[in-house]
Amino acid sequence: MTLFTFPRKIYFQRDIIESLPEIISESKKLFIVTDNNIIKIHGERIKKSLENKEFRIYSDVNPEPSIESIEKAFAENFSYEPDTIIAIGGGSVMDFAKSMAIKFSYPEKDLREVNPFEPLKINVKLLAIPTTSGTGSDVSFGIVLTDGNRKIALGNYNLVPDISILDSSLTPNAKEIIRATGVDAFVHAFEALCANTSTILTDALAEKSIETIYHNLKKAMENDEEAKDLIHLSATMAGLAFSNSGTALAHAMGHSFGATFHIVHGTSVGLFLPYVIDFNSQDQKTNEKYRRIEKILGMENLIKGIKKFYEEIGQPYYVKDLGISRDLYYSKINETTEKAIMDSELAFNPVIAGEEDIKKIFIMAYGD
Amino acid sequence: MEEKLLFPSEEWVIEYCKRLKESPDYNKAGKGWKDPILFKMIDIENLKEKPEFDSFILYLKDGICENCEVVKDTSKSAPFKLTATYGNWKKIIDGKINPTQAMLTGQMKVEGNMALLLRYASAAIAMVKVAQSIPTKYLE
Repeated sequence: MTLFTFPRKIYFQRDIIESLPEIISESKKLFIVTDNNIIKIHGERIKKSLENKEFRIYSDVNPEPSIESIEKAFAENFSYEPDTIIAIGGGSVMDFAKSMAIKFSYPEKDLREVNPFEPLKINVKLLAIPTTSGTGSDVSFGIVLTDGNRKIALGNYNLVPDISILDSSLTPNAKEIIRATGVDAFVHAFEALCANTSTILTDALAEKSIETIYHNLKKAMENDEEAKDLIHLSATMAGLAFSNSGTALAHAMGHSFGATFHIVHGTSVGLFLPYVIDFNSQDQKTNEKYRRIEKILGMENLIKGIKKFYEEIGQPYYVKDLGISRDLYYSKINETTEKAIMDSELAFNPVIAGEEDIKKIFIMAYGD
Repeated sequence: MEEKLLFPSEEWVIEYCKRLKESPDYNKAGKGWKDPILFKMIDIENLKEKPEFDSFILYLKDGICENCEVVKDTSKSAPFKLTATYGNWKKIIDGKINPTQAMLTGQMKVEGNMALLLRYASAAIAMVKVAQSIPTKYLE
């Protein structure tokens, strides 16, 4: 990739949320995008840190936000005209906040038209405070929204937040969430590594992210503080990597599968990673990168090693492990294949994947 | 050894269309695409040797190149248009820039339904691989 886009600043420190006023000293009017769960857990802490600022909180963000819900939120808040949007939450909150940044800058714009080829002039500052250690949305140019029953991946380089604040004291204690978001970051790093737009800059970020997540995710799930700090930073590193390289086939398939069967994003993309590694190994350059990862992780075989890692952390390896019946899965296989083939992430895959290739992987992944 | 074809020339465009038709990668990735694409070179007045034309159209349908046409009538258009300097087209064909990179960094301008174009970015990669397979010589 000949263009690298990073946030202007990244803060990394436990409890730094208390220093938020100093970080945003130049901002006058804040629009906080978050969800009701974050308000329940961290609301007082957030409001306390903003007590001398003018702010409005929008907390009705639901997982996998729909275009419709964003348009509704904008209609309710367009007259507020903030100079800064602060996203505090997981990937869905980040995507919602970025979408609101577009709407505040281009009120008439159809979000479906957002693409990376036409620069956007975003006239609000965008601050991202991720509360999960997975999506990398705090540093990425992408948005994933729901449009009807379809997930659409959009993006624009001007949507990379100006500032990312990494405070793992805000991250959840529930091991299921830590696992799913950690696996998401793991897959981001793998896909960034192998994307056909990868460079040594993104490879360096991706490799270190893979290594750190592999060694620390289980401990983070047990709420070891140091491990959680490292996973939180690794998720952002994976985000920097994929935002400046790409995500690819595992994401195209994970988006499609997740939207069809309503499975959490991280679990979905993680499920397809080993099969995608197998498929992509036919590309020599990618194969060499996988062999290097094997050495870094001390594995004899990458796919077997990932399977063992998944067993240790409780990530499903087969679709059947999720309790989805064979009949139901196969009845939807044409639908999931068609959705996956339409996903723009495929462009970054090192090996061109057609309909038959994708269907084959979907079949293998069931675990017959 | 295969004779090198000049880019751009009618022979090169015809060969490109033929090879796209025969490319399993393009057949896969281009399935579902139904629109012609116009390829345009700008800045050709700065070249020492002037090409016979600055644009050509590929008539693409479902992963097959059905027909091609060199464009001498400037009013001719297509639903999708890709424009770059001659130098950048050379870099894309030679593999020095990835076409997705070229589009993202403005080194190749795109006109048309952006959402659709993005969905078929892997077809663009396949098309470039096919272009790279043609023994090509360039204008100075």
